[in-house]
Amino acid sequence: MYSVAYTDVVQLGFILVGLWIAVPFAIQHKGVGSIVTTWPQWRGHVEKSEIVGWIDGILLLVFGGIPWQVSLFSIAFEMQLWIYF
Amino acid sequence: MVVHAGGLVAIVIFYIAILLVGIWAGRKQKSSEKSPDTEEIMLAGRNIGLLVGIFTMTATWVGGAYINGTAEQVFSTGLIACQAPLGYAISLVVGGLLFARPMRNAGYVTMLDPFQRKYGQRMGGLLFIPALLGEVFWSAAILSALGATISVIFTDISTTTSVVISGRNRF
Repeated sequence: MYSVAYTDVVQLGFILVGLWIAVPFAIQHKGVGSIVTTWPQWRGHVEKSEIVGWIDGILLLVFGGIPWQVSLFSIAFEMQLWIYF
Repeated sequence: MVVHAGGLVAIVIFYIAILLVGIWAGRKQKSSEKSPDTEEIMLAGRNIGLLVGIFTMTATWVGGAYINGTAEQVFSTGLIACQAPLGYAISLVVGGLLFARPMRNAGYVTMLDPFQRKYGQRMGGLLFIPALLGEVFWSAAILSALGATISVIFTDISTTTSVVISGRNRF
């Protein structure tokens, strides 16, 4: 578990650095427009008839995610500090 | 075969870094504990630091599948329809507020433990099935993300081939 935890740190570091390195290249690509003017396209929308399904999806992620991570919650001793506030 | 050299170098560096850190962490564990039991191995003795704790909890969700999937979803259906980041973030908060302390105090390792203790081993075995299925399909998502990475480096092979290659390398 120590090795999993520490390789996780390295993995997240790579993701953080790698994605920021990719940003300038992505911006300069000719297929990429302004993030402001394309807002209506990448915002997306949820139809009125889809709202219930959308809420269902969020509930699935929220409460389905708990058994997934609950073993990790009991790992870190210091995590208890969080719970107090 | 067309190979993207920069991408290949980046992957090799990444795997070497992961390997070295893994070996280093394994040695650290051995020197601190002579004969670690299951709980020591699974939960690192419930005693890893705050910073490493935050990183490893974040990395539970944020991996290749999460990053690729979020980008794909925002591009194809838009930000509002991209539920995973929001849902998993709320999930962490809810889990921390409601489950972390009781689970820890009772000495549970996974979510199956309280059910097994209350309803017996048969129920524990039954609940193991959905947990196993969840892990299997999660692995499929991870393999798909790895395949996407491989297909960037070897540009002229199909997605299926690249998923198979990355799967072979992973196991």
